[in-house]
Amino acid sequence: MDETSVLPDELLVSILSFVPTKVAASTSILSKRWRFLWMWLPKLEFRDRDVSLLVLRDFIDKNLPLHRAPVIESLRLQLWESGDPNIKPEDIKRWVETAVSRSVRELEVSYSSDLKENMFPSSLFACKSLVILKLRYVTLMDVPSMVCLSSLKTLVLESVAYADGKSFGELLSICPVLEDLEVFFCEDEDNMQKFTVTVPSLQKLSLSVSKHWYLVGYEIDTPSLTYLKLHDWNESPCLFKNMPKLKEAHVDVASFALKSVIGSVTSVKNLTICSEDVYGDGFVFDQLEHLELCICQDDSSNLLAQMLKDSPNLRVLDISVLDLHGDLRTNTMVPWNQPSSVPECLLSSLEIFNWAPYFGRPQDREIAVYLLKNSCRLKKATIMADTTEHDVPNLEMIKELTLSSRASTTCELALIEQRKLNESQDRNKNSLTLSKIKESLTIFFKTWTLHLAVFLKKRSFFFLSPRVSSPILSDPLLRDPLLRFLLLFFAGAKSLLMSRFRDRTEDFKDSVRKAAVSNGYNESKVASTMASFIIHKPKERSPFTKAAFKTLDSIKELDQFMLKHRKDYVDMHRTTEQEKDSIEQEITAFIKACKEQIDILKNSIRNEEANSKGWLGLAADNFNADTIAHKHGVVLILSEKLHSVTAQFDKLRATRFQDIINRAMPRRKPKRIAKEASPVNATLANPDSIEPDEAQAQPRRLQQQQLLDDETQALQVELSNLLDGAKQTETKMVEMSALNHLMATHVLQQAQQIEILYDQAVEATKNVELGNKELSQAIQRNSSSRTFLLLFFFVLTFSVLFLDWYS
Amino acid sequence: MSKKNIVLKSSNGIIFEVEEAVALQSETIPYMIEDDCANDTIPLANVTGDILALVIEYCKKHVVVADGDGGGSSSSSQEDLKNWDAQFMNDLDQSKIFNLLLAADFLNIKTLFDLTCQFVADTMIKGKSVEEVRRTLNIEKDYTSEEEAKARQENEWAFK
Repeated sequence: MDETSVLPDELLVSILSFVPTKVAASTSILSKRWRFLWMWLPKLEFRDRDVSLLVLRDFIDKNLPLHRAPVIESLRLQLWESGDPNIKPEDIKRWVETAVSRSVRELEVSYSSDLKENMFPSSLFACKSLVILKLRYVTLMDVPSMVCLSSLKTLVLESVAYADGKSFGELLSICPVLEDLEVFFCEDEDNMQKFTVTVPSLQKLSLSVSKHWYLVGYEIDTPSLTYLKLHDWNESPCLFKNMPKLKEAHVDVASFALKSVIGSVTSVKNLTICSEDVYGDGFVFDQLEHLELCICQDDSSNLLAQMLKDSPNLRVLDISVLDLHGDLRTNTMVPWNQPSSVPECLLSSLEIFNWAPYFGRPQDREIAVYLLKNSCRLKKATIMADTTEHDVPNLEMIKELTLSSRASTTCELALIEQRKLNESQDRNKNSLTLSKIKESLTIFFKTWTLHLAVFLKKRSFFFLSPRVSSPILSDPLLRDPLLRFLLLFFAGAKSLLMSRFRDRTEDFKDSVRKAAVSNGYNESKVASTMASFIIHKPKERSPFTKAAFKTLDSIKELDQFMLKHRKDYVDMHRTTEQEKDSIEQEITAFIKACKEQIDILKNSIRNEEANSKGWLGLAADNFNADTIAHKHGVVLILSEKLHSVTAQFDKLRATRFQDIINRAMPRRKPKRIAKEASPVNATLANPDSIEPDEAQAQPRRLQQQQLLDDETQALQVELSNLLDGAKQTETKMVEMSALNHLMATHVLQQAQQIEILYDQAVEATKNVELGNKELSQAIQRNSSSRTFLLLFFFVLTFSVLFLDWYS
Repeated sequence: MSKKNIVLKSSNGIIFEVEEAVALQSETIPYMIEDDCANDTIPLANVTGDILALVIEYCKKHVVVADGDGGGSSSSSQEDLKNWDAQFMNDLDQSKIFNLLLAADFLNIKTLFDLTCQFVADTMIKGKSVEEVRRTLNIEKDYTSEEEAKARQENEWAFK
């Protein structure tokens, strides 16, 4: 049964309205019922290009006048011509006329052709039903003046050619209720040197003026405007009348336009701005809550400073690069002139600060550090680092900003706890999680150092300087999974210790600041000193760190070595016992070397400790205490790592012996469990569990050796048995192959016989054929001789009769 | 807000009791309530029980979300809802879909109607050859081959 028969035609038309007109029209050949269904569609969309347009023209000409829907709600024509026009402007004129006669509500004409002819009937400009009109790449001319588009709300004019230079203004003048206007002027509009947008009802305006257009000037007078998007990098004069209702503006302009438009956009709540220069003085954006500033221009930094100064109620600040704006590699944004006093919005209102993409250049850093340092009510700062296109290492940038947040000196302490300054995000999830891990690692490390320092009881008072943590942050040791495990362990202690440590840091910084101020430094100098103090951390690695890295590398190497030889070592049949023993020896030697290295490190720390005592003032002592704590930590981590590797090795050894024992036992029950438990998870193994393993392994060894010998003998016997069996099988195989050969010969003989038979058969067939031929010949001869005989008798009879008569 | 329940009765006599907010997504039901306010049960003569159950399932899902975040629904819940819609439609067979379309039209539930139309358009018509569409929709070809050729020729552009 036809399942669509349950549906009435209207529903089928509704369904068809969800597919492109072209597809809908193709359903006309489904069945008779569907033949004209698509012609009830209220919305029509025809799009095609070049030669196909000829077919399309016929199609529209045939169908549009007969279209059955009483009202054509929308007609869209997207016709792309690249060579000689296949569709003439008069065709379009005809179709538009039809649409207008069917009360069209939305009309869109995109027609790219070189023909500059009128393609709109005058009836279009008097169409009362038209609400949306979109024209792209067409030519507009001869707009009548005594009519009006009484319902037109939305008008889009994109790269339209205004043939006589006046049609733009004329079109606007006949739209009394226009609310939304989008105009993109094309590159070179020769006929128009100035224009005016005077629409009292207009609420949204998007205006794009090309840079290369020779323009004398323009004027915008739209008192009801609430949204303005202006793109103008043309250096021509322009005039913006008052726009008191403006709520949102997107201003992407050259300096000249900026200076004329800025007075009209002071009432906005949301502002997106990109310009090459600062604007004049005396403007206050007292409603501005959300500012997005594009930093693709050289002077963007100073525009930012000015905007911050003039926006007392700013709540959200986005620093970004607008779409299609500037290549940052060539952009040389100047370092900003730091505001002489902290802008009011930073002190009282700024809550959210986003920077994407952040490139981490010195001038960027300066701004970010300043903003983070001075924004008292900041709740959330998001820095989206761009590492894909620019070679600023992600880690470095995040580190800098993490640290700079702690450089905050004017913020009150309570506010710091509210902040979430290290909300570094990145476009892809991986780096997001990476940065989160880093964040937690930072926290972890602070607690950990603290913990160690307390444990060592070196000092009764200490503070944790960011400078100490900076080389540690870059330490790859901290990315170890083991440490994440430890992190969980320390998490409990964290909350307790965190507040105390932060208090101390802030106190310290405050006191430093006070001291600096009392010594005659001014505020900004202190800030920059602090910033440089924080940002430029020691680049060179101390010999200790180098040694630590070397040890780490050798431990890693050992690990890899073990991984590589694990199979050789554990598997029974791969290597001989001697080889296994040599592997074992090598690993033991390796472990010993690593241990020695760690011991050397330990000694060096001890020496340093001894040297540092009473060497300098209190500050130096404090500093050293932390460094030593850090070094102890490093050594701890290294030995922990070595321990885990050793544990792994021990397990392997245990596995090996287990195998040997198993072989000594009846062979039918191989114990695989031990093998499977081999060191996949050993990296995270608990150090405590290692000791007993190691202890057990040694005494087991002698017993196992004996068992092994027995096993080997048994194996030998079994092997020789196997060999005999194999030999027997071989002989049998030879016999079989001989028999096979015999059979092959027989088959060959048979084949020859068959061939001979075949030949004989062929010969016989030939003979039969020959016989047949001769037979047919004989039959022929027979018949001819018969006729002759008959004739002969006939003649004879007559001659006898004749002779008889004659005589 | 007192939660008023509305009782709906399908053509084959199955009774459904739903919250008012759920039922009011249909623009037809308010008129029906006005028309027989004396009787609490609203008979829906054009909708069978199994289809009505589907309609109610859809409405329930969509009313919760509309309530949940007071207009400014978050993008993730929108996304969830979209996925749910897709799954909802995918689980139905063809005759159910057509009946659901009829019901949505009759009850005037715009979002469900659009969803169903879109689904039919996407899965049964778009990107398919004429033969495939005929097979999917079980349309009997009642053209002679000459008639079909003529129709094809008249709408030549559509087959390019």
